[in-house]
Amino acid sequence: MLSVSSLSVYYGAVRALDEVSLEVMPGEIVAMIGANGAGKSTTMRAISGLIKPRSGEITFLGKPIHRMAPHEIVQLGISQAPEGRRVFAEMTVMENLRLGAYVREHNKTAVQEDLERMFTIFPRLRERQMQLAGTLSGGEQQMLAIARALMARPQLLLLDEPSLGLAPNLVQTIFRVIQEINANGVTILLVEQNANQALRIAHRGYVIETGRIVLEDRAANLLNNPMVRSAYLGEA
Amino acid sequence: MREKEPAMPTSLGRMLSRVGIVLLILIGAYVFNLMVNNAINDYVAEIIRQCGIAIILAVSLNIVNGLTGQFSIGHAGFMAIGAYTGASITYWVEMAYFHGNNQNLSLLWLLMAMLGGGVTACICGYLVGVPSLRLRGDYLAIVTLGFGEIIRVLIENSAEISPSLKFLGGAVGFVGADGSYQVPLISNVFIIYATAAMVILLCWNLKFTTHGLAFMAIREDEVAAEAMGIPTTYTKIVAFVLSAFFAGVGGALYAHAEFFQPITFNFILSMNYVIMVVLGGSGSITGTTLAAIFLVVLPEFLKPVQHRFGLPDAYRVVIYALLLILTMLLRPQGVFGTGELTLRPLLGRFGKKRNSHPASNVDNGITAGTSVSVAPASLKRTWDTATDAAGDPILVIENLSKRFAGLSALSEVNMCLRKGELVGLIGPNGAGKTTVFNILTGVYEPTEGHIVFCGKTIAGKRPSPFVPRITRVLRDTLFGGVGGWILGTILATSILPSSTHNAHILEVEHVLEGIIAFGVTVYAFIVSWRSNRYLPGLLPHQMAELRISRTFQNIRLFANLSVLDNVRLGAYLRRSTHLGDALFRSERLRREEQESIHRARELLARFNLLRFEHELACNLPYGDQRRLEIVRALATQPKLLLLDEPAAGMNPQEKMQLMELIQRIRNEFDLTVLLIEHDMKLVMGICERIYVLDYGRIIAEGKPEDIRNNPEVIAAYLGEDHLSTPAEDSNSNRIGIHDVEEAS
Repeated sequence: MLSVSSLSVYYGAVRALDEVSLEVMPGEIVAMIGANGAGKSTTMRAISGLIKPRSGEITFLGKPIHRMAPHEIVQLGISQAPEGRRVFAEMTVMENLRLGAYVREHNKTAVQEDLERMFTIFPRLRERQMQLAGTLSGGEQQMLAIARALMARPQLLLLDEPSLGLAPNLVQTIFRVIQEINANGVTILLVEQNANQALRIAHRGYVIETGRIVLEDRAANLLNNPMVRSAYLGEA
Repeated sequence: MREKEPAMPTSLGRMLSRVGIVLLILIGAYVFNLMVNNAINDYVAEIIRQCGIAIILAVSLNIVNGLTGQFSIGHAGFMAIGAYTGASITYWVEMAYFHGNNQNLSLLWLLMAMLGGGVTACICGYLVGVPSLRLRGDYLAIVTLGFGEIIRVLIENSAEISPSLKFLGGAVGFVGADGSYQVPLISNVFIIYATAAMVILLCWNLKFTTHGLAFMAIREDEVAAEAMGIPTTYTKIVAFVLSAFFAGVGGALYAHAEFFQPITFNFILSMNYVIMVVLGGSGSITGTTLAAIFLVVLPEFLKPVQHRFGLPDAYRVVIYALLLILTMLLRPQGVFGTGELTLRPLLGRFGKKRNSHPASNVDNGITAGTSVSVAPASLKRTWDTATDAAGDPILVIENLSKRFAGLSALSEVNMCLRKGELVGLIGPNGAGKTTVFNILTGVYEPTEGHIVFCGKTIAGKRPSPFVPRITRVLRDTLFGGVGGWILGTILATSILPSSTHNAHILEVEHVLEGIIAFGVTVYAFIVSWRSNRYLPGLLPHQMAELRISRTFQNIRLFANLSVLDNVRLGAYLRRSTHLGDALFRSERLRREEQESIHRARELLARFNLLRFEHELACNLPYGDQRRLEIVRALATQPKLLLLDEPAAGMNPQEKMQLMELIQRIRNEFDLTVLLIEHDMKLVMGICERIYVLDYGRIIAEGKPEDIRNNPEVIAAYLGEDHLSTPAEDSNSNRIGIHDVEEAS
């Protein structure tokens, strides 16, 4: 469904990604794990068109997308919940969610249904729907960012650290929600520090180190890989 | 840092070297003056003078727009004030002593004019700055824009405002009371360039001290600057006033260099200086200087080009504008960015900094896994610890409530931290944890309740003692009186028929004036008496001064300052020097700066960050940025450290190191720590006690194992499918508590 081949990205003279190649099949959850600064977020940003690669190709459903503008990529069905809670601070929660559905605004009833679904998943957002997003607490903004990405009904959802700053019970909820969304036919590419949880729900995983993919396997195998266990699961 | 400092030159030697610099500037300017006078035609000499004045104005604007990151676009207004004040001074002197014969005016009088122009501009800068610099964002731009225009219009219509101002000459220029006066053109290349060099030197002195860093910290992040104990409003006003002073001096020089009219100091002139700062690189003194020269000279160079192709005049302006657009597109941060052009690369090893110690000497901080090392006694905190014995309550939060426009964020929160404790504050997202931090650091004032820190009430209603209260009340009453009198005059004259000859009406007018003035004064007194019953809440920088320090949920480092400078700013709070010391590089300041750099490097070395010292903070890896933020907070020498989700975004390995780090600083720095965190492994692993907040209320408090098994906490926070297994030894400070996530 999504295929990234030999992707290299530079920030100025600094190489952030070095010939990264990865594949996401329809219906999969693919997890990308790695240390801070390894290039996980950069890969995400390249896929969603926020940065242009120096070389390499990204194709989505057979179409090359690495030269497209971010909004065109969203229209093709790739939606990203950015890291760092980039919500529209001066808009209400409701307005944020409606903007998430901007690319399919014409279908009013479906949008309404999805809003309802988001409020069921995140009851906290229902309580706060008329509040300005900027006044939400950090964790609530994180929920809003994820919900907004889902409102676009993407075929492929990019999640960058969805559990960041969330309470433990919500972390569990978020991962359950991710599985549910996936069961409803959305393919997911997931970047997580919480490697343990991420690999538990993922089908396959990639380990990225200093801009290179160093390991690729089924998630269950990665969970049992001694190298992964010591480096990313916090085990001695 | 055991190595000996190089033998200190005597302070006499230092004095001489400082005098030497000034002499060098004077001689340089004098020689330059001779060269210009003897070898170059008048046209070029004129351009050279213009360059010098542009340098003074651009470099002074750079203090506000570049270093402090504000946006002033009315610089020409201050220049106009300086020009007119300066011209007035020489005019008066001439009329009084030389009876209109301006051949006798000496350099001394010009210096007086410059000083007068500077001081007047300075006062106006204060009046403009105080109301507008309290606000963040673009307000200053709007206010300064308006200010520049008001000054111009006021001078144009000066004769109508008061006949005594007729000598200013209105729109035609400064023509004196008889309309035929000409301002003596006594600003020569020598005085202009000596002044420009002095302005550059003073700004240069300022930029690389803690005082200058405080300006730049405001540019980088105002909230974080406050948290570091920098009074942002005050500092911005200082920067603004300083900048206005130099602009006034430059204006006075201009007045004695060229013919001027009010329209000379229009908006376009202000924008020219803004462009110089932006083009040269906001914050870069050398960049701004070069840009000033470039932009003055460029149009002159374009003249022959234009004549060559026989183009009309307008084309030159278009080319000029196109060049600017191109530069901004190709290099938006300005030619020099925030950096400076120095001779160091040219001088090579001779230009090496004297105090650059080999990093390996001190860079032996702990690495992950090593046990907590005991700090050498000399590195221990040097401030008073005698008064608070271990175990006494250091922070008491009583009945704290906070409501935002009807929304209740906190209600009746009670907490108590004992000295040296490591306490966790957990709870669902939006429960009010960060609000507690924000009240503790003076960002918000509580709606109800009190916070007592080290025996002192720091938040909540603090009854005002009589003296500060009555001082404020008297001040407000005085303002009320003046305002009431003005209001009364305006109202009385506009209500009553205007007849200055009717004594009866005049009397009524006076009575009415008196009544209105008295009424407003009494009103001001009553309102002020009531509202000053309590002291105003402490601001973030005052909380930092009381030794409460914090880190932020999403890292707020001063991104474009070096790692060393980030930590160095911790010394700002404890400084004993003032701005004057920085501008003139006093001996006291030199010692203090050396000490602050020394301390900062020591601190960095202890946390293994010294290898990054010259790196910009934003270029550090994520985990190191988080650590640097903690180190920066420690640099302010806090007693209470507030950590807001320090482990967010860290991987398990980094989290382990962080746990160790937090425990280590608590022990070595004699701290009390309050920690907000969602990572249960970390919280349960290192906290001695935990408070749980839900919907703004404390729902549980206790040791980690109690919290873990508390049904209410599990329901609200930990999650139902979290099966808690009792920890073997969770109360100790050891690391290695079971993984909560594993249990699910």
